[in-house]
Amino acid sequence: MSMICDNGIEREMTEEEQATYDAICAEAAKNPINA
Amino acid sequence: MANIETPIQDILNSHLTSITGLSAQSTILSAGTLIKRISKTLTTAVSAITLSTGDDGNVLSGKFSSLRIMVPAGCSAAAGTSSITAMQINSVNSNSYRDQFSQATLNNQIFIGGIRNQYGNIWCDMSVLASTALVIRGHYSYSDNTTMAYNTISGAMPVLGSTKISTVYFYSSGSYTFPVGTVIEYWEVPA
Repeated sequence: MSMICDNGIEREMTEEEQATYDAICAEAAKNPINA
Repeated sequence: MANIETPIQDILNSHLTSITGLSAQSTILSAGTLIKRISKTLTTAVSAITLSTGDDGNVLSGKFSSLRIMVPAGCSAAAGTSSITAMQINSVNSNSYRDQFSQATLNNQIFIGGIRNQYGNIWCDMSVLASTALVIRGHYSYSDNTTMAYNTISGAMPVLGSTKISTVYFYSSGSYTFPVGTVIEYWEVPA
């Protein structure tokens, strides 16, 4: 699991949080950005 | 007639109260005082950060907000690779954001800058305008004393669905991490 800082508390993501995070990362990967 | 020793602020407050019928002082304060609500230094590398309550335990409720991220070297992105930071406000996850990096399309997240395995910072100011429209403007930069990059960013979201910013969720959209020592500050003008 990835780590999240939830209102100051650093912990592992829940399965639901991980799924949400993975989904938006997958969406972002469709249009790679160079910054 | 006011005493000449009366502070100018008192005169102004009295005048505004007579015009509006409201407490002028509270009106002035609520209109423009930027308050630091959160200050956090990461002790663990994380990929995402959720902000919905301030350091005092009270909920966030800003009509103007400022997110400041200061990053020491140590981001997990490989050399030469950017970790793009993205954000969702109030848990809105729909194709309704447009920003500097996705000008042609609406997106389900707003991209607010890039960091690398170098010293860097992202500063993003957010405003809720026209009751529910969100606009952002900010900048990011990073450097390792040899190379550097920097840019301004801007973006918008026409329908926030709220008159205030109550949740800020930001993350590395490339599954990288914000390193230990990253400083996060969040400021707001209460709605």
